[in-house]
Amino acid sequence: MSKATQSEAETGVTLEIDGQEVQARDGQTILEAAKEADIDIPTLCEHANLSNVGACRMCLVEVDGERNETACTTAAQDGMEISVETDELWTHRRTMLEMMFADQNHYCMYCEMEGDCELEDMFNRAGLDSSRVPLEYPDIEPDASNEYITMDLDRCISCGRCVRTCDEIVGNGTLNFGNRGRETTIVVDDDVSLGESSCVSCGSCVQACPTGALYSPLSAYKGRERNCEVETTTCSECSVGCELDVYTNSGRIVKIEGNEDGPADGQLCEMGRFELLADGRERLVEPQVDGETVSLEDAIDRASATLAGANGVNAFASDRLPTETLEAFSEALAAYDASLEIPGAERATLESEVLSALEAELDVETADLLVDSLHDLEDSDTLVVYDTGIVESHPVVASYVRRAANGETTLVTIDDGEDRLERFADHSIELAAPAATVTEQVTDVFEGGTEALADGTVEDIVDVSLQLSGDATFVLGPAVEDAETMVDIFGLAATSDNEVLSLGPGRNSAVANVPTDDLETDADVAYLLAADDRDDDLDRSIELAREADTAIVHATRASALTEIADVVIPALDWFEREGTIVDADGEDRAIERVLDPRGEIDSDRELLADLQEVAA
Amino acid sequence: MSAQAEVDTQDDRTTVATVCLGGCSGCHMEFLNVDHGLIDLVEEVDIVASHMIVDEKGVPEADVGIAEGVVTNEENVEVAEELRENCDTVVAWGDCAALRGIMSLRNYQDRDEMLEATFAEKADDESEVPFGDDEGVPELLEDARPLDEYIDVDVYVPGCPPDAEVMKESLEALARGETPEIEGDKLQYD
Ligand code: SF4
Ligand code: SF4
Ligand code: SF4
Ligand code: SF4
Ligand code: FES
Repeated sequence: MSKATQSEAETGVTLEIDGQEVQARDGQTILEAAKEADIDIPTLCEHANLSNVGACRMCLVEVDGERNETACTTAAQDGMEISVETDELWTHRRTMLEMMFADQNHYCMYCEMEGDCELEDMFNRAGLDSSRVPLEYPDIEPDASNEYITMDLDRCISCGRCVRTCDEIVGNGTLNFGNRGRETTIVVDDDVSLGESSCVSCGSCVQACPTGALYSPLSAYKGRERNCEVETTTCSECSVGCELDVYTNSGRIVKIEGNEDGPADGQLCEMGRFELLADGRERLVEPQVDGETVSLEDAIDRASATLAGANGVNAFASDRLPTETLEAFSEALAAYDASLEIPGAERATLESEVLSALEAELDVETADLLVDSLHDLEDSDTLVVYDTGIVESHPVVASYVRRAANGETTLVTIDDGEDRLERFADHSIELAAPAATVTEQVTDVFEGGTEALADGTVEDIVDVSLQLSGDATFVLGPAVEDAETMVDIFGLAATSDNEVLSLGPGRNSAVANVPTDDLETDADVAYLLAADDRDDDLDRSIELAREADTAIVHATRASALTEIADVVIPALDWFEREGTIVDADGEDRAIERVLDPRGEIDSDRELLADLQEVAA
Repeated sequence: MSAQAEVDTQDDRTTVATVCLGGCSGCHMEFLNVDHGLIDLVEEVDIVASHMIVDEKGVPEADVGIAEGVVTNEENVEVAEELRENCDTVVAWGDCAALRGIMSLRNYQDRDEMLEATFAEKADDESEVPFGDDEGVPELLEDARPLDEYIDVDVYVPGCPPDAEVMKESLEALARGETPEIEGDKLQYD
């Protein structure tokens, strides 16, 4: 990255840009110095958090009246006299822009990016009203093979922002340049379609693309970004807790983007960026009892009577919900004879038991055993990932792991199934059982290096994989469920003075603090706070509903679950909820209401309080 | 009537002829959105040809000649050349005339296959492609191209369509003998 750090010599240089005196720090580029002085140098290929390559030549500036340089790649030097806004430079820029226009097929009038397009803005600034360069009309097929991302290279200017984003931010290296010169084009892996490629559909390249060459059909033609309002909230699809910038227009969500100033450099994953927008199930707005629409009051009365008359209640709550809602649910249940299950709670409970046992046994502080922030993962010399399922469950952490492995970090992956990080791992170990046995001797084998892994039997590997060099971080994926493995890994971290990042299946890490129980085998009522759950979590609710005689369901959208439920009470959608969730670092994070609720339910929690009141 | 005659006798207004080449008439429609402003405008310009306003089929001599649309068939070439010949200043109205626009989307298809698909395969068994020597429908060119690939253009007013206000202002500038400055917000591509 080109960004000079603050700590770098404060010596500083003084230069002049379009007559204005500008202070720069050593190592800063002319562009960076200009930005800090609020001087607008035109750019296209430069982008937040990416390295600079000087590809588009928009930032061409005149230095000391004698030569032209690209401001994004040229270091600011003491005494430089820089011109930006000269007619001659704008003529250069316009010629470059005409070549971009003529080389590809730009039809702004029906382009999804129109109005937000940086290229269009640049055409405008350069006064491009005709093309002196012959128009090419190349025949380029759009690639719509990825459900969420369309790549239409008709509008690509080969700025490489997508390539650098996929490589430097996401660490995935799916996109590359193919061919040379005017034939240069973006190539996906070895020239396959995006849908067949190694792409993890994180959409970070879509966010980085300055033109309409990469866009999501989920957001296309829903409105211009510049006419949107932006609300910031926290993603509750996994415990990474990425910050979501949600763009809305007239009560409708247009798109979700990552915060480029945040720790993840603007990236999100498929779930946070796309799946949250792709839930096409019918929205539930009215309460129902036995398939008939009823008043909310009647639905609550019926639910309460059913719960009061039950022999046993098995309750289930979505871990996508804010902590306050989960607590309210737990309290409401206290009035009845109910057992509560929340995904991730079991692992969280087990983990805290293991940790307190180790605290006593090995005389360590739990706080010292856990990483301070998952965003610092890349600082480790060695990463050991147990369960590469994190690629699907905690995708942004997987991206940190890839980035680290692409850099200096040694990556050891341990998985009993498909190793989803094999491409990046220095050592990939197929293993289901506990990773190591913490013995008194284990510390002794720490002097070696991971080279010893090259030719070993599985048993050797188990031991030798622990011969880690430097600072190591152990990443525990959600599939690690047994106490023995946890003891081993936390114990190993404790004895080797290393740290653990634990990524359980719980999306809201607060599940560790909400009292949960093993469900009963003979409960006759299922009480399911399913909210907007889908896939596996929804299946679990359906299973519980089937096992019971009567099912009470709080759900956001119609599904197989609400079809079999006896009482259906509408629940808020993710963008209507408010409260906090706890992320994998143990921090409270704010869930903000993005849009006002559409149905008659304004608050899940008030509803649960009503239920509690009726019971009292 | 007498007022009209009076205007005619001492008419030093700038004469303007507009033509629609391969366009959708969208630019001309947008021009009508000048609305009440047209009344002020005609004090300065005399619109001598414009298919939505004046009943004049040819391209008369004029100070300013405006073309909407791409050059897409043989007739467009003739009309464009006539415009250049008969008018002192030639203006390209809209993205099609200035920058090729949406009408050039046909360039991505084979001309003959497209005609077959559009005419012969669409209606009944009798339908045919309506081109040929004696058909009275001008022959389609291989490609649709912007105006300046055929004639010299003096002023470009891109936009799909350009804003009525921008069209009006640019005409007013031309009437004053100035070159219109189409920049900033006035320079549009959508
Ligand atoms: S990418 Fe930009 S310049 Fe190209 S057609 Fe779309 S809006 Fe116009
Ligand atoms: S969506 Fe993500 S993984 Fe896929 S190409 Fe873009 S940046 Fe790379
Ligand atoms: S797809 Fe977009 S980001 Fe990538 S090179 Fe083309 S214009 Fe740039
Ligand atoms: S990594 Fe987790 S928190 Fe971040 S966007 Fe993806 S699902 Fe949401
Ligand atoms: S921004 Fe400097 S060359 Fe593109």
